[in-house]
Amino acid sequence: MTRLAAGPVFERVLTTRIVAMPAALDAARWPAGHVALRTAADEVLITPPLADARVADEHAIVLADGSFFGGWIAPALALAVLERECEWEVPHARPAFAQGMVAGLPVKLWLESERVLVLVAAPFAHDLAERFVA
Amino acid sequence: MSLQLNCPTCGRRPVEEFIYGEIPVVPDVIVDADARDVDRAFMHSNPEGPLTERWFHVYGCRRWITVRRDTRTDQLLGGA
Repeated sequence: MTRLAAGPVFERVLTTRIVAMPAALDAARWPAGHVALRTAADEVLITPPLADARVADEHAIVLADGSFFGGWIAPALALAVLERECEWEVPHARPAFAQGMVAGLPVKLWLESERVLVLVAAPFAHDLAERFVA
Repeated sequence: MSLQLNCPTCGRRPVEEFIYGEIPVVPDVIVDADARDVDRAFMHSNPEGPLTERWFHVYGCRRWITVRRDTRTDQLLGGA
């Protein structure tokens, strides 16, 4: 039996998903302490979830989303794994958001100087955690 | 290195992150229902030359992008 090295324990990350007109999301301001991941021009994921999300779009869709697992990782470990498992160039600026294929899985990254938030769809959490070893 | 597509949201990404958005077109001359199913499932169009394509960025922003590509060389033609 092959024993895999222990990776980080990814836990469910609760977010607020907002789908709205891009201009409304551009103009929106989020409370301090929240991380806003602009996953598309018309979509943003905010964690921790917002108690009261308001954007200037009467047709905006605001959902509580618990479909992601993830966690905060030390940058040294995260960048070492990304260099090995990622075919695209990780942004050098901080903070920065990036999303794409990492180790064959759809991953979202929020890169800060002192820590990196890694998010992945819940069914892939275990597979990704196994890859996040030095 | 594989073909890389430029996603306006996510940047340049390997083509493996995308799903090709072909709309199957079954020729009208095929009238048998089973034959139409077979044609729709297996007879993909494969045009040669410059082509405007739609790709879905399934590993990233989960949005459709439009790409101009020369299928003879895999060169991206920009614009679109």
